[in-house]
Amino acid sequence: LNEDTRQPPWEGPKDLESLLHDIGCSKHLPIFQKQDIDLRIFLSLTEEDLKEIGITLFGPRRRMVSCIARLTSGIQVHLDR
Amino acid sequence: SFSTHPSLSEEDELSGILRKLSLENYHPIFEEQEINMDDFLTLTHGDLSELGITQELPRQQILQAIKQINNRKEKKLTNSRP
Repeated sequence: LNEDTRQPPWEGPKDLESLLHDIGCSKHLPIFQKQDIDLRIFLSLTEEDLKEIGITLFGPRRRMVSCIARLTSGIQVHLDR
Repeated sequence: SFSTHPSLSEEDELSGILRKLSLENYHPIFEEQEINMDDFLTLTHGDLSELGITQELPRQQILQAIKQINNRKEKKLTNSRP
């Protein structure tokens, strides 16, 4: 049985590494790796959480927060269908 | 599109906006904080304070510019819809 064909299409990034790459934040990946944060956990983070783990630059933090909001609302829309 | 890659032209745009307002002295703040054009267009009054732009006049000028660009972008989007 092919899992992929049964899965609803997920247009988002396949993992945290590609997500961070897409928003120009690749250099921050080690911070998340050190904290054992994967894509699923990342999508649950708040702006305060990001500050706490050391995302101190305003621009990257803003892009991460916007991206989390966009992707999590996308998931919700998908589940609502 | 999902991607929000910062590009050279976007950075040029931001410095151009600040130059037009004679606020280019604030450019290093945006550069240091790695704020690209997409980020810039989401900034609020509180964000600008947080970034250390504490004087009211420059803050208002920047917010006004952000509003104008966002309005223009929205119009373009509306016009391109069938």
